[in-house]
Amino acid sequence: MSKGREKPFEEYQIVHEPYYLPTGDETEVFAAAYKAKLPILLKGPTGCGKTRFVEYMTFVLGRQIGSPLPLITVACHEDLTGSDLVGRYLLKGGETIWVDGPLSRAVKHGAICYLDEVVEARKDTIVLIHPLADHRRILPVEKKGEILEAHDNFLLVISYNPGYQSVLKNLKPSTRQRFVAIEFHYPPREMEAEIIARESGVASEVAEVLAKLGEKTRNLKEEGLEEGVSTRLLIYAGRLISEGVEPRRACAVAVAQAVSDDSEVIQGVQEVINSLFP
Amino acid sequence: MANPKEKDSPPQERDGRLLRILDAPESYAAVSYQEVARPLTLFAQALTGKPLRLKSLEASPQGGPKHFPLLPHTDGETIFLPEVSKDFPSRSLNYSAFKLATAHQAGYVEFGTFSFKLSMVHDLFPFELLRACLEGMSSFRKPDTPLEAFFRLFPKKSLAKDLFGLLEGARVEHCLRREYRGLKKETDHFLASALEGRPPPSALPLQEATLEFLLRTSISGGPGTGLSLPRFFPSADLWALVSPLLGKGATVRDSARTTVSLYRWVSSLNNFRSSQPVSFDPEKPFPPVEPISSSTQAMDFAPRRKEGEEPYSRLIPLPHRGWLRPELVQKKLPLRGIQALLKDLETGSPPSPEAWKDLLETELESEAETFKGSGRKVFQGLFLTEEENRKGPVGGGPEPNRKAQEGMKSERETLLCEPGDMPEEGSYDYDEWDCALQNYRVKWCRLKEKKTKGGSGAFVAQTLASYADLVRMVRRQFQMLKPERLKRIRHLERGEEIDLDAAIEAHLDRRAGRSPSEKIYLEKNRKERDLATLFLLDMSASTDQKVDGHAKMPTGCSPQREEKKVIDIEKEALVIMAEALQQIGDEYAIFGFSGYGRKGVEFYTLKDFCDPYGPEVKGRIEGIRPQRSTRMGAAIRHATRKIVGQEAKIKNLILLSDGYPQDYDYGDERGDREYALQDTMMALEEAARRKIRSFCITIDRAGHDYLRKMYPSSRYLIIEDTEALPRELPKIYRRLTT
Repeated sequence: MSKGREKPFEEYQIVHEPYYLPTGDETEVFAAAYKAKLPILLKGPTGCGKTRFVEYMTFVLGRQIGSPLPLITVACHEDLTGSDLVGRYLLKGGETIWVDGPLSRAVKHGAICYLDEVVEARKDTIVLIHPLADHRRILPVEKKGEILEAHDNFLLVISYNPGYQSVLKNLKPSTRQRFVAIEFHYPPREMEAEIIARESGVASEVAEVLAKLGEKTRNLKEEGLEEGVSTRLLIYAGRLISEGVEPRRACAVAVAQAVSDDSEVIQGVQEVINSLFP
Repeated sequence: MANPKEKDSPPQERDGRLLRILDAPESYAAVSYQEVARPLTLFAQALTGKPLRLKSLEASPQGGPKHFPLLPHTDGETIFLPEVSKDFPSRSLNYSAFKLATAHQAGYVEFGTFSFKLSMVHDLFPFELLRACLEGMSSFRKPDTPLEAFFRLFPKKSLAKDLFGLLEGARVEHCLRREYRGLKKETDHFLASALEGRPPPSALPLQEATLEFLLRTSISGGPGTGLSLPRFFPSADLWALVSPLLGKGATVRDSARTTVSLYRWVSSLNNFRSSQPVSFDPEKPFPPVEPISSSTQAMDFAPRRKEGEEPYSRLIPLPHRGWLRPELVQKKLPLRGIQALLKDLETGSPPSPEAWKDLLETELESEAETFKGSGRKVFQGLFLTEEENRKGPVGGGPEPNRKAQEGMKSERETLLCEPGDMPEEGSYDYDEWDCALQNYRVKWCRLKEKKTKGGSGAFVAQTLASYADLVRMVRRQFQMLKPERLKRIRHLERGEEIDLDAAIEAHLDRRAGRSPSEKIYLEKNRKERDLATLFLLDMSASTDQKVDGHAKMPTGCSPQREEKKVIDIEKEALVIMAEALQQIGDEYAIFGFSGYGRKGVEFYTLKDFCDPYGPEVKGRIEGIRPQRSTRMGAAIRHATRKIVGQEAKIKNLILLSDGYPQDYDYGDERGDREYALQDTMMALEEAARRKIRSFCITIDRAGHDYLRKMYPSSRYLIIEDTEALPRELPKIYRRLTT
């Protein structure tokens, strides 16, 4: 039984190869960008493998350079401030000491820093990463009056979901134009089936039907289903099925109920589920 | 429940009444169309990936073939279902009936029934016949679809239709079974119950008996049906023709070709009943069953009927398979191409193989216009409009025109000469863009602000009552949007609370020897949504028309409404929109426009940005009446003026229209659409330059023709079903602004 463990950021290294099935040439592109020290933007709907991809690439690149790379992930949100990323002074005892934020640590120790859903953060926070994302690769720390130069192994990766194209939230051109962008979609049916089978442990025939279910729900553009069901949810359904839950019920809780609260939408989705699973 | 008087009535009568009560359908088990419409719509859309809609049978252009029962059917875009399903004793079975019918009709769409092309069968028919069928397809008034044209090739159209319907129904059913294994159990059950009511082949004349036999083999999956058939009836041979259609990989092409083969065989039979004396050779009563592979195996075209033979009567399909009704499908036809070809044929020049092939390759297509903004595809068939017949440039102005220049010069002189012609209070002059001149006609239009006659507010109350469900849902949805939009504004120099994080940072800064920031306060509940929207309503005379189609219950509305006019629906939609906006607290304004002539553009203030949504505004909305023309350019310019003064960062202009811009002098000739369109486009561009985003919602189905030019495809939406407007408007607004 594994207990919960504490690890400092730098020690969160990817030492075991995570499972990832490439759908295109994304692995080559990412590796090339890493070597060229270019920051990367991952675009795609939720639950389609972006985070897993970053983990996988962290492992692969670690193997290539000869020592495991740490991966530092920051989930961005509206209240994320610059200090949250860069660091701040804290009161400890009677003293003020400086504590580095995740971004500073990644820069110093040569980790891959992954800012997830970067568009949620405020614009004045996002601009902090500009000096890291262009040729300078530096991080100014105003409060200390210092400049951090990035370790050679450092890489900045950001992600966002262009599906919710809101008027009020989008990346500024000055940010966008500093990143190489790789697009992610839900994988095609056969690949998705393979991924589901592998991740959930369910038989491949069942995984195929789950992938078909994913495809069918992506035909709907209703509330909550703008992007359809994510691969992740299909994997959850598969996991439940392999634990012995009836397929129709497993999909009801992992898919239909998960994506919507509108009873008519749930019913419609459930009918699709019932048509696919006897 | 026995009535004391009943004791005195004769026993048979009493039993009869009792029996009738016992036989009455158990109404609590009945399931109505309204209950299932939305989930099954999603179901159909998910299965096919197409934006299908559902409607009740009463809304279909013709409920069914004359004198035949109303059964589900589709026109490729809409699936028509019965008002109520009550044939079964339990709710779940009645619901399953709806579901299976939907799955089946969606199956016709998904598995390619409507992708039939004449090229699939043209080698089986002589040239003369095909030519006649092309003529049918080129008829202007009501052109045939390829499937209809196909049926016309047969002497007995109804027999061909039934055969094809039967075969396609079976093919699609087997496709459904393979793709959707979860439907098997229900389908089996319904097949069993559907068979119960059907006449056995032995009770039918020979031709109908054959079709009944074919239907049953397609269900049982083999030539044996356990029924008594005439001696020497070639069950196995017939089955051999049918069985390939039930396997994987069968397409509509196979069904069509099999139809031809089977037609020839069936039509060669004498339509006697098996009980009647038959005068054929008992040793070899039936002609051989052979598949047709070329047009030389000619059809028997002269219908002969012997004494005692019955006319063919149509096969009633299985209820859950419904009717196949290709004549309803929207189509896109290269009419000009067909006409040209026919002309060639008449003059004797043979058609080129490419042209021939192109025409025969026509399939039933509909153009789907994607509206990205709402995330919903709105299906729109492409109709031939008068646009096709008009001469003159479409899109892009013509060369500058001397005549127009002369005309404008004299007009301007007239203008300058008129004494006392300054705009009065509430009047504004606007330029108008002349695409022929490629320049503005300066101060060409005069617009006057007006108010509608107020009402009592009863209309608003009534609307809220009759749309109670929708209003509840909309209020809730918009309310949910609201709290997110309330924000804590931090790092302020003054505010209602201390921003603790900032205060600590300031303290730390001081300790670290730097000067602390003074911005250590915060304010809560300040609106973050920084937008303003102006709704501009087209109040032209055409809104006085009744909403076409039936005034059936739209979702969210209570029954028993009278037929409504377009303007009424628009007013209702505005009321509901206003309710939503009140919940979320966004800035908004509602104006209407109409007028007559360039000097008489009228602009009605219903709710200005600063007006509260109170009795006065409600009364003004009630007072909206259809007016006259639609001089959109001037109206948009004035609306721009109204909104540009707002402080909001994001400004939206939403135009609610029912047709294209027009006015009697909007352009040099009356009916000159191009001028009006170009001026409207220019007005929209002027608005865009001032950072106002515009959006058009119209109920004009022919809207694509002109809206495409004025707005990018993500900025307009055609609402097919006018009555859906009250439901759609808040949705669109929400999508635009979150």
